[in-house]
Amino acid sequence: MVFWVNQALLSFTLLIAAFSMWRMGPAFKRSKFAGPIALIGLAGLIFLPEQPLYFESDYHRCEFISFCNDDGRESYLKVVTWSLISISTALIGCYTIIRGSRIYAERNLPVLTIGWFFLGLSWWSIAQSQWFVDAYTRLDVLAWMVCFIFGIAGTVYILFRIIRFTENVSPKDPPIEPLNDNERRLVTEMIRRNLGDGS
Amino acid sequence: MVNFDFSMAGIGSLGAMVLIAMVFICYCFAIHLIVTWNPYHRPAIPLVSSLILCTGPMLAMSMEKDGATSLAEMLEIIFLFTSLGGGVIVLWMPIILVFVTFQMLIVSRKSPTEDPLIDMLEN
Repeated sequence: MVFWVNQALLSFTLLIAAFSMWRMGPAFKRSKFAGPIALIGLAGLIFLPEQPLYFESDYHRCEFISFCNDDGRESYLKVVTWSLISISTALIGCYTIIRGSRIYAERNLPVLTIGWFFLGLSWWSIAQSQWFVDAYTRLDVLAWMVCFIFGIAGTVYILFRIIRFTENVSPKDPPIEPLNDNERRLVTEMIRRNLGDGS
Repeated sequence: MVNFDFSMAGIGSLGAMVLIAMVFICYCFAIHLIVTWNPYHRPAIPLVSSLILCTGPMLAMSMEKDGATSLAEMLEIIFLFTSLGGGVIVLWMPIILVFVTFQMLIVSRKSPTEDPLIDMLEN
């Protein structure tokens, strides 16, 4: 078992879990644990442990696995770091531009300028990352990217059909009883108080 | 021993990318269903299906060489699939960022209308 690989996998899983928890529930009551879990996941992805040394038990396993050596760890870290920089600066830039534009209030030029600076920083980080340059100059990688999208579309369709099937086979709830007089009075009173009757 | 060689070009690697996409999405979906468990959503069938779709290709890959597998090998294969999947999604980022930048350009130049409701109706 390779330790940094396991940590990277666990951290990635925590990030997905945090994102799911963050997006679930009503908008005014999101999960309180999403933020801390996302931070732990991010820290785990960035601070990967070193490779095992020659006298440690996992060292020999690394001779057989392509991504286990130090080069694999270094290139993984490089891609993760540059991706995080690009994505976070793009998100901060978009958020700041939206806040500085005339959507919610008057245009705020300094805020807008800061937003465009961050968006430019994101483009700069993409241009600096050799990984993107290599990928976009290779036809086989471009073909992989397109195939990956087809794979995603196919999988989403399969999952959609499975969810439809689950909904169809689930037993339907029986129709509820109509409100009795007491309940009807309560509901009427609640609506009257919320809407106001002019009194 | 696990052999992770996806560097070859051709039909094989293109099919592998479709499989990687399937495993990646099913893995994310399974985690989503587990951490946001709600019995009223009836998640049992989607969860079992996504786990089968997720573990099937990984089991097949880990048993490809010697017909046996272990937890360590499975974890390494999950790492490989999720890393490749995440990596390819990140590779799409420049293309996505072109659209986002264009949208931000429109937002930056946008001026508010007299009546936002009428504007919303017209759009």
